[in-house]
Amino acid sequence: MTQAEVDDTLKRIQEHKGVQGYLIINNDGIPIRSNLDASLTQQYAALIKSLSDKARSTIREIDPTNELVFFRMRTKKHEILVAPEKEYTMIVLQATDVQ
Amino acid sequence: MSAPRTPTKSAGSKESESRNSRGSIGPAGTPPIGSGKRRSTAGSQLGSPVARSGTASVASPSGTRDKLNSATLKQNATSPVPAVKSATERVEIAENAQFLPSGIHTIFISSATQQAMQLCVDEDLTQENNAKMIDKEILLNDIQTNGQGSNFYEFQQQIQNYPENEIAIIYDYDYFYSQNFLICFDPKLKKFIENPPVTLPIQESDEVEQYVPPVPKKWISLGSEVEIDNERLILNRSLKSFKIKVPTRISTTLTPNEKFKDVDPDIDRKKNFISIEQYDDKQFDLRKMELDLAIQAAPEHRENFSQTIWRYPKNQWTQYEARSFTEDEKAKSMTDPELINMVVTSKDLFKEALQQNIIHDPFYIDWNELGGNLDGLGGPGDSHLKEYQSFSSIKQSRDKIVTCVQWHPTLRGIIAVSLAAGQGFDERTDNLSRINTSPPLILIWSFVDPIQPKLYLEAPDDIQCFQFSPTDPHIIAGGCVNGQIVMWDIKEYEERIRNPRGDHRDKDLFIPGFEDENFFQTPHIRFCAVSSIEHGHSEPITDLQWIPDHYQVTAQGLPTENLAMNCSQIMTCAFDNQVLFWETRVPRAGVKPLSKKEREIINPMGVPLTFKHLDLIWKPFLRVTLQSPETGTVEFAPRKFSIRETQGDRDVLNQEDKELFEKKKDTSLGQFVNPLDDPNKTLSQAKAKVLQNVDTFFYIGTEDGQLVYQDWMPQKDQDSTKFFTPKAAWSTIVVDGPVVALKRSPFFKDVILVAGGWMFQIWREKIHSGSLLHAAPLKEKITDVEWSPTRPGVFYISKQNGSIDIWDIIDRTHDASISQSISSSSVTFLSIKVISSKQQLLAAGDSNGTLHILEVPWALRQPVNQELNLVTNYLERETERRAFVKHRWDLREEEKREKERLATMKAGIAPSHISTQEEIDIRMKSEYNEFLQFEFGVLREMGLRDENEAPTVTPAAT
Repeated sequence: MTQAEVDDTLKRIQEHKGVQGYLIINNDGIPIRSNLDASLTQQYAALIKSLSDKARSTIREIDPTNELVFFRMRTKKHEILVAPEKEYTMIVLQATDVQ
Repeated sequence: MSAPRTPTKSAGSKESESRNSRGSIGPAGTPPIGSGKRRSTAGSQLGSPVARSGTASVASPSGTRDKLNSATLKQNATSPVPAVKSATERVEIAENAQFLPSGIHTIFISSATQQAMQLCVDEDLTQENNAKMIDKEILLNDIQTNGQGSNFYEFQQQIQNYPENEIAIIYDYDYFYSQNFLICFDPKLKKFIENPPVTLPIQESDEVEQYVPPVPKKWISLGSEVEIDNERLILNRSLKSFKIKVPTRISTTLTPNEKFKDVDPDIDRKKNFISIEQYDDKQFDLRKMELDLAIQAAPEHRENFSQTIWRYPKNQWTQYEARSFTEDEKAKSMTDPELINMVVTSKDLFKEALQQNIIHDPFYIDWNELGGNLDGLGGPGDSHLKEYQSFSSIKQSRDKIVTCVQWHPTLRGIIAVSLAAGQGFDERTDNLSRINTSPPLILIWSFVDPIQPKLYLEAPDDIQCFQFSPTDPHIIAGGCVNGQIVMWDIKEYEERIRNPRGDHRDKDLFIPGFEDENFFQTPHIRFCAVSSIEHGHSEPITDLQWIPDHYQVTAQGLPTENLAMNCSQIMTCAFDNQVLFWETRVPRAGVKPLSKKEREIINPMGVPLTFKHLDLIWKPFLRVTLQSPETGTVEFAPRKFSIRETQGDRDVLNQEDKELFEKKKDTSLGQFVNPLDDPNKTLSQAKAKVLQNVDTFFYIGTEDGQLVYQDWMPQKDQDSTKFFTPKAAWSTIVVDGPVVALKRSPFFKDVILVAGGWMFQIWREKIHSGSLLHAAPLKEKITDVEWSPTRPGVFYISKQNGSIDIWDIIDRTHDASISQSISSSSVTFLSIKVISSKQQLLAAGDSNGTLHILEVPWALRQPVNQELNLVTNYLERETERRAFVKHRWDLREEEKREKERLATMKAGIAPSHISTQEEIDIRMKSEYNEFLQFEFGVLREMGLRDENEAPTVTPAAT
């Protein structure tokens, strides 16, 4: 597994219909990689991070052996897909009004 | 007898006196004590002569005594206790005589003697008044006459010796001294009797209740002390004393030595044994049921205060920056195997989610999309027309039918109704010579007053149709039965119409006694102009319409821009095969304005002069004469017409501007001039721009049920160079009776609803192969139709039986969705008005002269979800169907021709048709002509060819 593979994966995701952007952030909410503009990246990074932390703790609280893997948020304009891992979190935005 | 009188004795006599007056207590002490003492004293003086004589005197009247005794004895027999008492009394009485003073003796006086001497007991003498003085002579006479029988015989001596003349006789009431009378031979006592001591009664009355402590009397020794001394015990030796001691019992509780033993109560009952059973004492069986209690809670009150420190406010700020990695750091993170791992693991998750969203939207809510249809016709909501108000003038509406109903274009709640006699043609001609005293009227109603109309508009003849000017609502144009056009101007009365209160109730406006009678009456307004009789219609005007304000028609029939932007032209039609265009404005070569004086002369009725220039000389500026398409058939008798343009629709102008704008841009290269600002432009008609997009073709519905497509633009006859109306472009019979309504859909300009007879159809402009909707004939004659202004698929059809059918072509196309009865008589006219987004009113006039205002329910007001699309699609579908049908017709025609050709070939009548060169030429030429026609049409549409130019058509023949 190399960095090239990561690039490839991200490219594939980007190619999906309606995908507006992606970003990878670390545990401190610092964006590492993003194809959104700077200010939007900052906002998403900071806000989604705190949300995913909250979601993770919620799941842990209910069942300590459980683990949050993935969550999707449907909004009027787009869907936000979040995959929180141990160290890094990946976020993808997809427009809902594709058709 | 001569016993020494002692004070004691006198006192005793006194006592006897007091005794006689019974009940009185003597001041000298209580009688028993006193008598007891006297007794003892008397006892000591036993053997005194008075006592003896007393007893001796008793012996003689013993008979009465015995009587008395026997009586008392009798009493004794019955009750022993009183017997004892009376016995003692008798002894007392006997003894009492002893106590009499020496001068007084007891005497018995018989009742006869009492009468003779006036001493009758209880009459002359009473208990209280018990003494009487009697002369000595009378007594002596009594003794002399009666001798020994006289009661006074024993006292003869004493009477004779008595020194004074009168002797006192005292009545002894209760035989206290054993006889009924006492006689007194002592003058001193007699005096005392005559004047009894007065102190006694006074003391009695005054000191009855006063207690006088008894005063011990001085003791007089009479020898009793010796007896007492004899009785006295005198101790002559000392007393001896003994002491006796009883051993004290020791308490049982402290002496356990006491032995108790069980005793059988049954056996030892007799031995002073009482067993006491326990029992519930009812006396204490009271239970406490209610308890009065009071508790008071005293609030604890505390005062507290604290002080906060108020710090001096300080402006502070911080600035922060989002943390970010440098490129190096990012690159370093990117190579982190954990990150790579994360991306790879979550790849599938993302892919799944993304694909899911594309394949199927799980958040699509079906219900949202379904919603609207439920509320359509047949839905839960009420979909019936509701009666809102109804107007009927008692005086004016009688025997009249409503011919036309128009809403006021700007004022709310104002509606005008024209009434006409419901007469047929024959009746009308019969009555033609009669003078009608009451002119036909248009009534203008206001919703605030359903009793009295706001205005009456007088007309020269029955009005068939009228309309408010859309831009100047105070001007009303009407079409008469006699073919004239009538104009009214109600500008002066606008205030009256607008006034929400009924004017005739505004009595407060006037000082009492000075009311203006006319003010309260609804004013009758005369028309201000009628058209010329010769030049107008010769038949009843059946339809009238103001030409929309955005264009005007020239005398040549060209639609041009209307720069004034107000309605001034009227289009009318009548049975006389004509459609006429009228101009209301003052012609350019205008009549000079009249002076005031002239005006007064000319204008005696107070009619506004708005249309003075038109009165009786008004001519149409454009005539469209309809010719029958083929000679020999009936000419078209127009009844209704419909033009494409509608009031307030500026699409045409916008389109023109756009085109102009583009053109200008092209030609003048940036030197854009706004056409409206063009200084060359004046208000003159001539220079007004021709509007290419206004359709000069219009539809006419005729008396015979035909639908005619006609161009109003006249054509130049090539021979006579005269303008004449072209032949109808197309016509067909569509309905089975006179066309009563020809209405364009408010949503689709090219969709026309035509109704007449028992049928109605929906046509589309320029699709002349057939109707889009052709419903089965109704059971009742149709009188009018009206489109819904807000729902594209809904229209109302009024029928002769007074009912209204509501059609919803989205709901069903074969039958009315709802049929509702409105009136008992035929509904003659429908007019709908959108009052507000929440209210829509349908006015329906009937043949009784009543105007019904019906409220359109929500379901018929509110378009169904996507209704416009649905209706558009429906119409498109139908249009396509028409095209298909036409195609099939052509095919069939071809087939038919082919069949005929084959038939003729088979018959051998004519050889198989081999077209000659000539025929081929003709055919080719006709095809070329068709092409030319088409080309001209295209060029004209593009504006490249002059309108008046006829297409150059080479004759097909020769």
